[in-house]
Amino acid sequence: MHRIAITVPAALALLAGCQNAQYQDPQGTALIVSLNKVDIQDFTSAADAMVNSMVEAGVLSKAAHQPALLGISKVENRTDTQFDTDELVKKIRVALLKGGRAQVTQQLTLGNAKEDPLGDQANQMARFQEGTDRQPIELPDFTLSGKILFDRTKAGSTRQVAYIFQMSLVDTATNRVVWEDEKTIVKQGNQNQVGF
Amino acid sequence: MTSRVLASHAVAALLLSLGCNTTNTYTSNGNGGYTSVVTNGWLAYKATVDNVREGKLDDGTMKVQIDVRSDQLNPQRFNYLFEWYDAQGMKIDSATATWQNRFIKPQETITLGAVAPTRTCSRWVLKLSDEKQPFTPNN
Repeated sequence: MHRIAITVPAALALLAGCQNAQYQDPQGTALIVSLNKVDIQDFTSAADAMVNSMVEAGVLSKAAHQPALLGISKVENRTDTQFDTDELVKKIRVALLKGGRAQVTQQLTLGNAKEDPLGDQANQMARFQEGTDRQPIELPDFTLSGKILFDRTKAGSTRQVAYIFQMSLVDTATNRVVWEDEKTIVKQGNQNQVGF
Repeated sequence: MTSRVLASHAVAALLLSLGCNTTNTYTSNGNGGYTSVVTNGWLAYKATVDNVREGKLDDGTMKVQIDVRSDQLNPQRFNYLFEWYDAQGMKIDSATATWQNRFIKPQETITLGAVAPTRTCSRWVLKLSDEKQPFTPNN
């Protein structure tokens, strides 16, 4: 009797497709594809397209500083879901930094918000002690800005969502947009699914 | 739908159900050509490398474009991933490397492109894998 009480629910659970939690490769193809949000693979794919396009354009390699000095400007999330735009921007920054193509400056930041306040204080103190605090600060060669937009539509029971990633680089010496690109990711279906 | 298409779908479904979704790998030989390891015949039938073009950007970064052809008579999807290696054969990780899904029309040739993550990369590897399920207009 006891055995039946254990075996039957276990068999039912198996039949119902119960699955224990398991780790997945974040670069792999077994990730969930959602119709209601930007997935992690969408951010990676968009960042990859942006970095490739930026490097191919060759603007970073012509900057006064080498690696180019980058200021991070406004990157807006204009979709209907909430997420931190650093899910995109950080990937771009890491790829550019690891590739030896750009470094991000903390000297000039949007709204004077310092990503690492202690690092900034230490820099100010070092400049004061060295007597260089009255010298002009190092300005970024370029500023990076962007928007993430979305478009949602439906035909019968098929839903479609498009996420549009737009990014621009402004040359701070001329205030001109020297590079920009757009990557659109479209997902279509009736429901979210595991894997692609 | 022709019997050929139905048969190819049936074979694909059978292979996938048996867990035979293996990866086909194309590796640069360092001289503008490539070598291939094809373990998935069904996948090669819908995405096979036709031509490779290698180049360098002004700063010396390697760039590659690869033409991929489908011999299928119906639309297909497949996944691809680029990996990069330096002259010593060490893998160079990229923060933005990820498997990407791609649609290909019947008998179409499309171009997959990539730029090396660092200037030290001298070889590329293209991995192709089948999508999760055979493509139909509804999935």
